[in-house]
Amino acid sequence: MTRIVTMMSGKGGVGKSTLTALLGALFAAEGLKVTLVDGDLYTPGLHALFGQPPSHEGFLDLMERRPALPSPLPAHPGLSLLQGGSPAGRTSALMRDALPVQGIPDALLGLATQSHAQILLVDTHSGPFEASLLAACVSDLVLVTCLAEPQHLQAAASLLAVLGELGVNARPVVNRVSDAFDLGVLETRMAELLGVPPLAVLPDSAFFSRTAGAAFPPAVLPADPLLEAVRDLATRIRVA
Amino acid sequence: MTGPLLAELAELLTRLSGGDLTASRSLEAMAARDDVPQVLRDMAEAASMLVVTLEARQEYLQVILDRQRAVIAEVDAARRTLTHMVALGHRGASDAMQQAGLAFDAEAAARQAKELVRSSLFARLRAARESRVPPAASPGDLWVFGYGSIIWNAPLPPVDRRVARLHGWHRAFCVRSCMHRGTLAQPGLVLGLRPGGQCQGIALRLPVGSLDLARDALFLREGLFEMYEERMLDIELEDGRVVPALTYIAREAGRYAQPTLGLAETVDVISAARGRSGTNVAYFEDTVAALRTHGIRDEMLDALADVLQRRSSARNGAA
Repeated sequence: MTRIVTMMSGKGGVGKSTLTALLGALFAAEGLKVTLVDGDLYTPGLHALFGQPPSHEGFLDLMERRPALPSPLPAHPGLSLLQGGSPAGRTSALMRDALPVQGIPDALLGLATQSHAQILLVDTHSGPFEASLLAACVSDLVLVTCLAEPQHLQAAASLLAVLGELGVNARPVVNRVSDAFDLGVLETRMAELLGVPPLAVLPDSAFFSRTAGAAFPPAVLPADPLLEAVRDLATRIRVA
Repeated sequence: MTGPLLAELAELLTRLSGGDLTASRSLEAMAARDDVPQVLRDMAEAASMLVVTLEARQEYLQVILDRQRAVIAEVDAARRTLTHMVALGHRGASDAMQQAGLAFDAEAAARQAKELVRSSLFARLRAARESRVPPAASPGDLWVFGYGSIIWNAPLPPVDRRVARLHGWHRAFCVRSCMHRGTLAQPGLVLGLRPGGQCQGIALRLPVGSLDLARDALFLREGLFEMYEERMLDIELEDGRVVPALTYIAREAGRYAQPTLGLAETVDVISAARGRSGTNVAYFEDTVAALRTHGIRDEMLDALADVLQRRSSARNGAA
């Protein structure tokens, strides 16, 4: 049985894609078969983190149910990636409202069956857009990544409430927490503020801030508090 | 000859006496006399008195030193307390910062969520979700069919327990356990379901909304996805009702799948394996006991129990 995990956020720039790539690499390192899906149809970028050139074909084709369906491509040992697909030359994709998002639930469920992956990690565009929410609808777990800042928390709280109404198993992940904060205290406070206990509170990492956006994951992962925290999160994802 | 020597001795004693004027003067007077042996005797006496004085002074300095050490220790303790208080101050400031800096408009968030929930988008989302999630995820009771450890180790406290029958599947020791009842080097065997026949077990009714919690607990115990496959299967309760129940089927391929073994071979494995949760024999005995409590007999388990019993008797007899 494939566990579908969708990565969402209320606002952009919270480190969602970096976290997705890192989690994927860690799951693969644990010997799980992992498929990443770039469900961010408007600004796909997961391929860049793995040093892949952008592909014209991708998740977009799967949603449109074109005759020749693309397959996820190996991106890292034990991990394959289905890119978003380039919207260039496709009028439908350039206009957000005209995207064939209704195909997303079936596309993801179909991919889960075909890929034989144990974990299907879906990255999404930030915000409560239909495409992201439809992916959440067929997920076993949704992670709502946010920063410990008022605007981010407000957006995350709103998104968590909507996902709660849908009966989706959604948990916040607080990312890039400055070392001025006590992580334990913050975790308790976040649970109170958001009404749902966070699945993880991740420390800020100078290393990953510097390398975010560069080819990922680095050949040698450094000993980093963030990496330890994400490893712990990976374990929780498997059971949450 | 004696003049410079005596002068030198006098100077030494004067220095040792710490510049005591009275002593210096008498020493000078001694050195000035001609009776050298007498002068030396006087000096020896003065020297022995000086030794007593110096010993007393040493004792006094030791007391001072001890006091100063005590003061240093006190100052050090105070310094550590202050450092701790400074850290606490930082922590307090951090807490205050968190309280103030994280406050967001929760009402605005709730309003925004409500608007979304009322929109036509939400209706589409709800339709997408409801058409694709298993029926048990919709509000209502969740039945879990237990045929092995779930009977005596429920994932959550059940609100009801019923004897139930699953048609089309039978109990088998067909799942390798490398953690709870065995190790990677010496895997144990735990129960699974294989196609064909039927299986009598216990249906546990879990509170509304426990699907995810139950899965969490079961996945944690059952070693995630690799050992079992989750299905919603119809089971027949003792009162005749047929309900869908969350059922864990043994995977037929993969590293945890154990092809069918004979009775003797099964007993060989079970009697030797031991894992994090105890011996494989204890797992077997707990399961048989739990089934018997509910009046359930399983031919395969009874046959295994007989072989185990015979071996145990044979061993005791030999001993």
